[in-house]
Amino acid sequence: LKKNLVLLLSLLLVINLPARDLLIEVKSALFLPTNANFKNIYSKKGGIYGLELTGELGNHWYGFMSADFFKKHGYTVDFNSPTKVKITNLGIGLKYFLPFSNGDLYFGLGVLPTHLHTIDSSEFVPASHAKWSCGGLVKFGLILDIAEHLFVDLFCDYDFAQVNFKFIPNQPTQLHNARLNSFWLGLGVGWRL
Amino acid sequence: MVVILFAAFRSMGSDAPNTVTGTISYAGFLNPVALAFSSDNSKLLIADDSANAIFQVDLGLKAVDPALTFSVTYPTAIAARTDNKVAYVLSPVTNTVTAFNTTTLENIAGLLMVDQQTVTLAIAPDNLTVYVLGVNTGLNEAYVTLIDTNANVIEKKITIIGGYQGQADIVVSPDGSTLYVSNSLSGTITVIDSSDYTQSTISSLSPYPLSGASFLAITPNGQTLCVTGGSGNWTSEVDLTVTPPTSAFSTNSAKAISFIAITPNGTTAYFAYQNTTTASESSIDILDVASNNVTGSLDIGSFFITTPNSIALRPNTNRGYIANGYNLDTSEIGYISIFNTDMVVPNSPTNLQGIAQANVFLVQTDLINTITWSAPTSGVSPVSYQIYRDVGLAQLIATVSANGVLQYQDHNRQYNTTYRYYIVSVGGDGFLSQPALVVVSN
Repeated sequence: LKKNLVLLLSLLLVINLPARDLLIEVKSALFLPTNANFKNIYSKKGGIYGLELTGELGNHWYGFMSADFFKKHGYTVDFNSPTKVKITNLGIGLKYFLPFSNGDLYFGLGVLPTHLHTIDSSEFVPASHAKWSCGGLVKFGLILDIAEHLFVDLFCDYDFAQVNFKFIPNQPTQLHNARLNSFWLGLGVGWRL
Repeated sequence: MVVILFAAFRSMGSDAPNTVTGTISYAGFLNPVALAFSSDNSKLLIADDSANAIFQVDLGLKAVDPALTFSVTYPTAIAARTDNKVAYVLSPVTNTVTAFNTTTLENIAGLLMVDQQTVTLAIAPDNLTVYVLGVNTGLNEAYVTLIDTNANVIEKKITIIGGYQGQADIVVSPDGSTLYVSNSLSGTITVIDSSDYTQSTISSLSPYPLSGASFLAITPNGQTLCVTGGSGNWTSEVDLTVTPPTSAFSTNSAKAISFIAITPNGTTAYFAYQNTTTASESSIDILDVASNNVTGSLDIGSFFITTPNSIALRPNTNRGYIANGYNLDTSEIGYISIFNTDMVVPNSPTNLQGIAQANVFLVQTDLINTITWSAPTSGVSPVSYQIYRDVGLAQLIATVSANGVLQYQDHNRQYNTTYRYYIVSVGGDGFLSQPALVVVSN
């Protein structure tokens, strides 16, 4: 996590440099998990919402920072125990822009500090588990300038993160890792300075 | 991960009532004389006066644990609390009472010295007091000494009016209000009010005398006192519901009566007859309490009853145990006989199945063993079922009503572990069937 903070601060410094292009957007996306256990419990899709800041570094390279939030209710298979999951993703990375007349195509890579919080409702299991982990993300997108300064961002991200919970023998429940890999298909609306 | 195994656990021998079904032998036995059960009824405690020891039998395994032996000089009587793991053993040689842990067989309170020749002891139904019957023939006196079982100290000594009269046995009424002491020499019963220790006497009753009154047992409703004549070769029932009490029944036998036990529902009494001439002709005879008729003897089948010293009826089951002492005829050491009483118990549940399941959350999994079963196909209908972790039925984990879904889920299990569940049917009167076993491996 310290490494991520250092990287975040570094990017902030970079973005705060006099930039030719700075994009701020709010976005929402269809969250499509790939992990079978996740899908079994929380369904195959959900909504994720967030903010993203992208700043030009030069030579078509941009730095970006994002914060996204996901929350979902679900039920375990067979036993139908209610459970909730809250995921906070902090994305930090680089985008490469391919400009065209009315916008830009881009792809990007980044690290994804991820916080997972689960709340399980069963008298036989500990209710709450929360932990940070670090994953990564790959981004593809199309920015369309629809008016002066105003743009929309059509994107497809793939994020991958595994939150490790150590198995401890002879505990009431058996802890295991959580894979949070997912595709995000979304739309952002932003202001381009 | 999921493995389903099931099997039925059956005790050896016949399930027929009033039938000897097996034997528990042990090389350390010499002359077992007294029996008691641990508070969870999973262990049988055996006092052996010649081996100078207390032994413990795991009633699930039907075997003595050789690692557990409690040395006591000439123990002749034993009584266990029903609310915790403490029992008391009496030694008439050292005139002591010793409190010990029924699980570990360790002394927990030193030796409680009783200043008289101890005879036997009984424990109050509320478990708060042990009554020690003792005599001093030199002073021509007899006493009941009270032991406070919480502090394990001698609390009080009551002098029995009339002095030494060959006091032989003491029982406590089911409500704890009254003590009855048999006086073999005077042929009387001393009645002691446990609240103020006032005393009265039941004298020899017409038409059936109490001469030689020795062993006592009282019905669970407190209305009938069964008295045996010991070497006097008779038994009698004293009706305690009338004033003065009357003797209602008597029977004679060629064999000496060594003990008497009454079933928990009070319908049947079992008398241990020692044939002092030919040990192998000893028997356990059966008395129907309501009709006052001896209805027969235990069917011993291929087993033996040689020198029965004591009988213990395991609570909530149809199982009885007989302490057979040293056989003077054959110089064979003693042993424990197991028999079925005539208690009507439900049959074991059937069609047991166990399955290992998992309630999988995102970051944790609750391993669950789900047990299902069906009601017995014959016999009395159970009112509930009990699930135990051990064959000795000491670790109760759940009670399931017979009116609902016959299923139990055992949560928070571990991987790579085999679990055994013993399920018993519970009848309306609280009696338990033999356990049926289901095994689940995760």
